[in-house]
Amino acid sequence: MKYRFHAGLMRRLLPAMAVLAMALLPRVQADVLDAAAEVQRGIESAIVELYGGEVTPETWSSTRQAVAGFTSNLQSPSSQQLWTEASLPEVAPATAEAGQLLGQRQALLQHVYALEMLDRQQKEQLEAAREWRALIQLPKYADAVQGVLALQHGKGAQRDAVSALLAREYLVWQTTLIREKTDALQRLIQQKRSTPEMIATRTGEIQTLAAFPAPLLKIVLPDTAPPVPNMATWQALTKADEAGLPPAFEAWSSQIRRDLPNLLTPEDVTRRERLLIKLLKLVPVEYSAGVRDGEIVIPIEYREAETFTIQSRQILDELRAPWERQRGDIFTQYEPALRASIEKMEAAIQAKSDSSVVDRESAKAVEILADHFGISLRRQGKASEVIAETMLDIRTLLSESHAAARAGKWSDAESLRLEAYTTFDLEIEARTMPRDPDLALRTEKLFLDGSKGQPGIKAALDARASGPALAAAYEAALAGMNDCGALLQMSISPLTAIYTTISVVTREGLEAVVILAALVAGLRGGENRRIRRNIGIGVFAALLASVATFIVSRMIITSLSRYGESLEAVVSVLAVFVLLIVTNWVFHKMYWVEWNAKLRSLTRAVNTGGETASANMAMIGVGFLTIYREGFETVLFLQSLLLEAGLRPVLIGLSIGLAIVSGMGLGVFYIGAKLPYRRLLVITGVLVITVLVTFLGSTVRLFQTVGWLPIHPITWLDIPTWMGTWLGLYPSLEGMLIPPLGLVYVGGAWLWVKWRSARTQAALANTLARPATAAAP
Amino acid sequence: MHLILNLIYSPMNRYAASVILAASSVLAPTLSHGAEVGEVKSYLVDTLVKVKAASEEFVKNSSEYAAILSAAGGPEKAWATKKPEVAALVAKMQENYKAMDSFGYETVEGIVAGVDKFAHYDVYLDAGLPKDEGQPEEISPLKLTLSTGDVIDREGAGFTYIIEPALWGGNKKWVVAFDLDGDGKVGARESLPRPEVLTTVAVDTNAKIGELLADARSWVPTVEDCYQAMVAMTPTLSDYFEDWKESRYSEEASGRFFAVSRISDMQGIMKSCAVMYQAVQSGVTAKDKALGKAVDSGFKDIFAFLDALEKLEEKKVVFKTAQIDELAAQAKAKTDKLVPQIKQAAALVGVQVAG
Repeated sequence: MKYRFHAGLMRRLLPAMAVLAMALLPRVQADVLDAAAEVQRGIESAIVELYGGEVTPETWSSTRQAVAGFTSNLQSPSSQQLWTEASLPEVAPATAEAGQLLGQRQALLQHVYALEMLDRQQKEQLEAAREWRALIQLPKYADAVQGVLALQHGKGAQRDAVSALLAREYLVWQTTLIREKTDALQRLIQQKRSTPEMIATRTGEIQTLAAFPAPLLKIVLPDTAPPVPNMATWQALTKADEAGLPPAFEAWSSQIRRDLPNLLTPEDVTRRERLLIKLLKLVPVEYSAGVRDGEIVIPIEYREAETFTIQSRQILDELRAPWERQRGDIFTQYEPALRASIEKMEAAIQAKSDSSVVDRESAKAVEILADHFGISLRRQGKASEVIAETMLDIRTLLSESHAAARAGKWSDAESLRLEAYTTFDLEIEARTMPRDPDLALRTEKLFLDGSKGQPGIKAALDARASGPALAAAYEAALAGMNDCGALLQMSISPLTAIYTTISVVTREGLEAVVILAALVAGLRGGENRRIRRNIGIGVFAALLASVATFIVSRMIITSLSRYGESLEAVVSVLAVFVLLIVTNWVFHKMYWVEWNAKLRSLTRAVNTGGETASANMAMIGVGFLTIYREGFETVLFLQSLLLEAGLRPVLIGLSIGLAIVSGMGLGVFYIGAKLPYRRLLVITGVLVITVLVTFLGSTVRLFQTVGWLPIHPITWLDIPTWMGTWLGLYPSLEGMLIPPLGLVYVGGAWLWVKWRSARTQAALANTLARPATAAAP
Repeated sequence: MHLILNLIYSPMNRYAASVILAASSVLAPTLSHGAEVGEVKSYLVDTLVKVKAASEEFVKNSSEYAAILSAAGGPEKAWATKKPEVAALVAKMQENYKAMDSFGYETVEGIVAGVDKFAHYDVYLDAGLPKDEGQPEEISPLKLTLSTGDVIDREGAGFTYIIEPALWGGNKKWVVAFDLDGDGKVGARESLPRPEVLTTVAVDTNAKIGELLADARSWVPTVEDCYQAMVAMTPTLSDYFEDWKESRYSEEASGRFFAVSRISDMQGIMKSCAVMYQAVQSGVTAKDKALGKAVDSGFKDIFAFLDALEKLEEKKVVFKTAQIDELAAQAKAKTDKLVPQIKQAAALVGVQVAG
């Protein structure tokens, strides 16, 4: 394309304009704002001319004069010194070099504005400070409110604090602009729209902008030395040919980004991390809505996908400094892959590639953030607390949204609804899905379009509904959320928890009683009193040790409570293991028989060995091991139940279970009652099997909640909620199929034992029958 | 005058010359200091009265156009027998459209789209997308039943998606395409608007503008309304510049906007925002003179920039790619700076704005 200048027109106008300009000069220069605007416009015009071919001598000369004249406005020694570097040569140099000079001056202007602002504010000339501040270039979404309010009262005791605030504000704005400008130039290079003049101008500006004046940096980061600009990568970039341009740019821009000051507080870092993962999750959603078969079908969605990706990369740049300091190894190992995924997403979006590419790269990036950087959108802490807190937040947001809608502030109402919905989606819906997908999806719709009979909040807002219709939409969503909340309050029903505790405690207690009874059966009479006493001491010590184990494990688990459902899922797996061991004992009596025989032989050995200290200790050990083994299993199991159901039902179950076991113990050891041990073991074994199935169900649900197992809802299956809380069955493929596997396992184990036993008996029968057969002929 | 002075002081170069030449005659009369929020309402109502008048004309002309075509037995026969009358009516309707939208509604769009109370009119009349192209809140609910029994169901806002493409042949659905100039072939936009589409959309649009005008008359504007609208609308300018940049790369990308240049739309939005800023400027200046002036200068700077671009476009100046990028980048920097400055102004006068 060519630029057709209207030279004739210009020639006619130029003399008149020059005369007018000279006449107006003093008046204009009386105002800093106008003087700065003159320099700015001069530079901008020269750049446009340069990109058209060359800067005309008139433009160069007037810009040069404006730059020189601007010095008279400066009072701060730092800015005066800085601006001396700004003077332009009399004649415009060769094109690319001219661009570099112009770009540098654009950046120097910003630094000078900031230094003058701080100088005036320190001198308590607030009006002048405000003037200089109003000149500074701002990024579109700059947060500038704090500074403008602070400058209303930047005197006296507040003077230094306001200086620090203003300086920080400036650094934040400029680092944002540096990132934006670098990204914009990178896109132009990728699209092959850049020219050598453009590279020289824009990199000149960025490079100078990134070289923050030391006095400014010192106010905000007193311990950070100003970075030394890397001129080598810059020179390499300005000299690079077309093929070498992308890598040269990459090397230069990486250096620039790396040297930017870290201005983020820990809260800023957390907020940006969460925003990053949120944006990365949203990009594929926007992209797939905006692009179909390589064509943009909804421009705004496409643009959102593009913007979110760029923002993601900008946030990644911002996080670079704090991550390098706080997570050095992880950063070095995974940041390149994360950046590569975001860049691939950006390239795919630009090329309007298939949405699967964007999906894949987004998933990769989110996975890196979640698995290696430990960033999650989910809140941390105990599930019940997170749920309660989240529900309160959602209620507040919906109430504010409703109020805004009633006041006719539809966009406010919509943005509050959106926030309520995303919060619901992340914290409540994700937890409700494994338990009751239908309720989760039904409630989600109430935040969106709703159903035929009940429009959702979004539909009501879109339709500008009012009065009862509007209120009904909010009430329906709140009611749905309350249903979800009620479901989530109970991991398992309190009665199930009591039943489970009684079953496990009774079963484990019964095992202990049976083994002890078998041990002491041969130790009656006064001569064995010592042994019985030592075993008793061991039993008592085991009970104390079990209580201590409970307390210690509780403390450990409480200290890890921030991991919420992830911790519950891990502990739940341990509980399932305990149950598998217990149920194995029900039918596989070899373990129990062997353990019993081992203890009895140990007792006999001690009994024949006389009364020595070691013999006494051995008998105490026998009592201890008999009880502690059962106690340890019970304690471990109860930890999971405590996390799932809370303290109260577990304590009730524990009390009842202990009372039953104590009754059995008293009956056996003091009254000498003969209990139907075998039948009792089978009955309690069956109870434990039901507990195993319920526990497998809740473990599956926990795994789905934390995302370690997928959810495949069975939408046509409508099972009552109590089946989840009582039986651990939930209407998803995983929730329906995995729990019955507990029964399959136990049944298989039982069949295996039966088969083995039958084979052994058959072999024995064969052995016994063989001599007779041999003797027959 | 102030604007002219500012511009004249800019460097003596070709680019600046165009800026000076283009110093806006649009803005100068409206940017008087001391205006109050009531003036925003006056401006809105006065503009909408003109829009309504143009819309009434459009109803009349579309009806006349339909009658001529019907009497002649269809568009082609009418063109064959009453070409001058038909051509004159189409030209009149195009002018009606420009008066209604390009130089009418567009100059108050910043207020209508930015003030919550009116925002739904903007979706209906001008900004709403067709039903397959956006989120529910972005879709124009416009539904028209034509005299033929056909239904136009949420095909986009009336101005942008129906009237303009019908009058300039931009959408085959709304026109009857045939060889108007008798050269033996049917050119890209060679067509006459379908009369039943024009008459129906004209009546509906006229009614909606009437509703908007009535609402505008009953509106009690507040400082909050002005800030909210400015904060909502000013950031959109960067996107307009992006559109402009893309349309410069490729003429086809300029798409639906046949009647006037995209720059005209930007001027319209800016004008609304500038009028609103004027209404609140005295409050800002009382607290922070520099900021008050900086925002004012920011608006003027952008106006001058737009006018300069418009003049260059009118003269068919063809830019180099790098110049297009640079101009768009400069424009973006100017508009980007305005957004946080307006938010600062709002904070200074104690107005809370969302966004």
